[in-house]
Amino acid sequence: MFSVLVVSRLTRIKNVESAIKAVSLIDDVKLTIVGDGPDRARLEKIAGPQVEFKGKVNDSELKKLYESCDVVLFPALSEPFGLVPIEAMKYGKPVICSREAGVAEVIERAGAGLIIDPLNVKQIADSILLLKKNPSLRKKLGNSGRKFVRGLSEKCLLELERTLEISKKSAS
Amino acid sequence: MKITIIHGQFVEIGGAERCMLSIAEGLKKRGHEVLIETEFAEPYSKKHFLLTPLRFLRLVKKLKTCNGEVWLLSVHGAFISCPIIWATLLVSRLRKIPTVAYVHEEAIRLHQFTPKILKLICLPIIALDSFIFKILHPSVIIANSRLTAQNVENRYHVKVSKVIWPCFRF
Repeated sequence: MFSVLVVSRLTRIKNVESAIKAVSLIDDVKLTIVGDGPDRARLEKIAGPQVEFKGKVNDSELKKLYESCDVVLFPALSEPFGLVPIEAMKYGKPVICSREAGVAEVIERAGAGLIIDPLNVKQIADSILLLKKNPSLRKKLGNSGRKFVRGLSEKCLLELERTLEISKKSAS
Repeated sequence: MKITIIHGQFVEIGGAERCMLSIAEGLKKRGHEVLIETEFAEPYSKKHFLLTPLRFLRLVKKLKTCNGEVWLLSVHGAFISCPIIWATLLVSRLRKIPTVAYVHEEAIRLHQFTPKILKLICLPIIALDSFIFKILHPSVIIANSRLTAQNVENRYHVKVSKVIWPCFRF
């Protein structure tokens, strides 16, 4: 069965509700939710049988979940950055990412996934369906992401180091 | 370089903390002398919020003797971290220490699900936060994404110099 993974703290702002609603519109899709939080009880009530709540998991289990899923969904309503899509890219998984997350610009630049309006459940469902029907597209997006994210942290660190040096020099 | 990283709490619990730890390790590996200055070695709790003015004064005193040729201030989204941000901005100005602010998100970020009572409590703190950041803003402001840069410019009316995506250990 096609597997969608959400890794998130379960609070309203993370909008896992939209993920649950979106998978309920598609047949033969399983949604695995990793994470815990104050919104869990409410989400469990609205979730159908295709949704599995894993709660908090350790690093090795999370690695297995990333490796075994087909797509990672990041539907946050507001997120200054967002580490989960970067982790998904590292595992070569395509990402369906909220346009309200800072990390969306990384996904766009990398060509590593699809950008969605987090409140548009139909658009999320359509994006899942598109990736479900297109294994070659999934592979293309996943590979682009994996390639892009390699060495990304080092590049950012160098840029930061340069900024600190310039700042120090201009002050002295 | 002797770099001091200033961050409210150093426990590996959130994205900002993980990012700053990675930066510290990365800079150290590149041969810099890195000092990490924090207010707490434990996660923030509500009791800390009540002591905000006291914490600010204590931090000003602490930072007056803090070393480093350049400071890297981590600005992240926990309103409880305001005192260390404000104290750093003030002391770095007084001591003329070049300070680069890395903004993970505005110190106080409200959204549609923030409880009303918290919004009311936060409004004067947001006003104070905006005022202090605008007056004492550091020489260089970096944001972790374009989205954050836009929010910072709208909130604090200061120019974000550049966007540098976060560094993480993989």
